[in-house]
Amino acid sequence: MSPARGDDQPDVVLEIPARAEYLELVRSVVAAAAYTDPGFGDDRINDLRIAVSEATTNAIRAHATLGTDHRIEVRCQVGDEKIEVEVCDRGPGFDPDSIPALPDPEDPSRLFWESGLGIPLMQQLTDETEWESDDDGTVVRLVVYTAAYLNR
Amino acid sequence: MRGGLQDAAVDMKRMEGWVHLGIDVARSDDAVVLTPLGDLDLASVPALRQHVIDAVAAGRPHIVLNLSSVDFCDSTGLGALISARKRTLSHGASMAVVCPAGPVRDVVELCGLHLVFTLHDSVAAALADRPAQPDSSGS
Repeated sequence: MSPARGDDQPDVVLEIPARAEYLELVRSVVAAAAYTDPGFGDDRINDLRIAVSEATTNAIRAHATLGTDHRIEVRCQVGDEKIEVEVCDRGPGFDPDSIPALPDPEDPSRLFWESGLGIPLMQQLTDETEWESDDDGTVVRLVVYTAAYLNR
Repeated sequence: MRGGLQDAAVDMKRMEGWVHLGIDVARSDDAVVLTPLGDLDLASVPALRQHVIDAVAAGRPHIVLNLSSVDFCDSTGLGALISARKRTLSHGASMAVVCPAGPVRDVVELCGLHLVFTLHDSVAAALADRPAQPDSSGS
């Protein structure tokens, strides 16, 4: 079981209405949590802000599709040279492997792909990205390690 | 239980917001420069989309999206850029993007969109990057 969902209480738990106006709040809180560890530089924290924004956007969209008023929960755990963020929603989830590959940017058909960038971005900008879905919903887990850890 | 496409569409509208994004608009006879101020995400892209729609509808043949004052951009913001490009192309207009070095440019390049748009470092360069207008004098 991951630290953020284990018996230990995560450092930060944030519940938000499933509305886009709260995205900036989520990014700010997660970035502030990351800054408590001086091992994270601005670049890595910015990567995390984007990845968290993607996961939370997907959660907001999932709740909108379901028509549910349930809140979205964001949990952060900082320590052991990493920050772990979980975004929990009531959506049914999806198979990330089922997402079609984007056309090459120089392919004219690329202009017809306004969406589909979010999952690849999460995977590129974090060190670990995982999805877990069950009857209760979906949890996206994002992990970013400090540069010192990665360079060891 | 709620359901169906219509309900979903309504809820999609509800989840969107019109926050965080002021847009500075500078117009000339043949161009408009849209300068979003703040974050480009799900909350703010509806405002940007509407400005692009208005600019194209007003018949401006060249649209410049100036991202110099954008602090943050995720994939929803990038999708809005692609949408703007499609709209301008479909209406016979041209579009240029100002995106100086920084975090926003990093994410644009990470997604390969610097190959979809030409990225400029300044508004002046973006204004210059427009197709030549037909000579109305016929000469």
